[in-house]
Amino acid sequence: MIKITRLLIEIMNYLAAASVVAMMLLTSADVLLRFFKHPILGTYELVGLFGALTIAFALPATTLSKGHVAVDFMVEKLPTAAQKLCGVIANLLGLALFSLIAWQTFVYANILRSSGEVTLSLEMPFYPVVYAISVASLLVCIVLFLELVTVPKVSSI
Amino acid sequence: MSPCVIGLIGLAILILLLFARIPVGFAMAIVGFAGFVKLVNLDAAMSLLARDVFSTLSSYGLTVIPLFIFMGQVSFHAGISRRLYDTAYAFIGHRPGGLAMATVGACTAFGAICGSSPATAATMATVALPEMKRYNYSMELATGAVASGGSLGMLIPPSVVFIVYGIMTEQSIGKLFMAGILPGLLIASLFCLAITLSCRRNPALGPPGPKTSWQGRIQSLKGTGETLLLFILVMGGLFAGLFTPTEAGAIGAFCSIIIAVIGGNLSFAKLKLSLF
Repeated sequence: MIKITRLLIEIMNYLAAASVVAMMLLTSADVLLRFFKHPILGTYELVGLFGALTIAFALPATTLSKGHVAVDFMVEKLPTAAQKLCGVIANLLGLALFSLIAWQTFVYANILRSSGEVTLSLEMPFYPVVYAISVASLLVCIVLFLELVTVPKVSSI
Repeated sequence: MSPCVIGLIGLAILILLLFARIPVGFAMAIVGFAGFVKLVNLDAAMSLLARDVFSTLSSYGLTVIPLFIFMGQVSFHAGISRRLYDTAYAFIGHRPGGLAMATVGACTAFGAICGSSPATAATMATVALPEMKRYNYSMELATGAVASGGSLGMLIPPSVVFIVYGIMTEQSIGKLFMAGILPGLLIASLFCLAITLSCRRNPALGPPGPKTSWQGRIQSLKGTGETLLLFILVMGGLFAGLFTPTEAGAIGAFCSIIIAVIGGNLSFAKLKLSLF
């Protein structure tokens, strides 16, 4: 379980990095080609979708490495047991939130697919990206869950 | 309960959650979601959750954030921060507290190509702290210089905070960038003044480093060329109207890679490090 999760996180992390590079190249090419009066059609919407993929795919790795921005200075003053309790609460709340997000984005993607909603100029369907967000959120849930049940093991992977 | 009371309760819960080290994003989403459930109903809140997540993640304006951070990472891995520090060091390292002032100076310059304060501080910490330790600087002064100098990364354009603020309040990001330059330089000089005064009162805080000859100083100036070029390309293009502030992130990242590769400072492995 842990191995598969780690592999999936790794793959998603690569996809996130690839999306950043894609955004960079696409925008730079668009700006350059604009000088020659040949902007790339749909850069605006493509970059937005790549941005969504970047953030969504980076979420599991960020969760694993505890990279989410949080306020430390109050909890640090508490005894260790209370600190652990705060950690568990954070984990449970995150789990609740991301299971909701995973479920609802899946529902939303189904709606988008059946209604056939597409982007404005390229007429690309939205739903694959929304499915991707759903899968990434599910992976966040798995990371949070594994952390909850096997505290020392997961933090060492 | 009136919406106003619910809002205030929500704020109180939010602050409580934040102090309990719940990640900021999680806490805001949870409180917002719960408030919407209370005010409207569960079904509406659930459907809003999916729509909001998607529309925020795919917001074009926000894509600039990862790109500017990428640009700062490339610059760091290409060794730009080290060269900036070396230049500042060559000019003022021999004064009392000079290394701390050099840190502030390098932070100011690095702020011109990096859009975030934590990134600037983290970058400078790896470069400047070991050096100040070597010359027996008081760690209070050394870490203080890095932490406060890092905050200049946010003031000196490009700045991720200005972009987010500009998008939220519909202000001109270009004007916000412009407005950050003078206060940034002013704060940097005030930091240097504070360092000088504290070191004059207690010389043990920051003993002077070795003096660099004028020849060495001129030579060290070469290290600032790439920063200057990158800053002019990004900010100049922005103010000349060649591209928008949102596009500037992508252009900046792209130019930083090109400049670093031409300078022979960026291998594929380093580029990979900047991405992850």
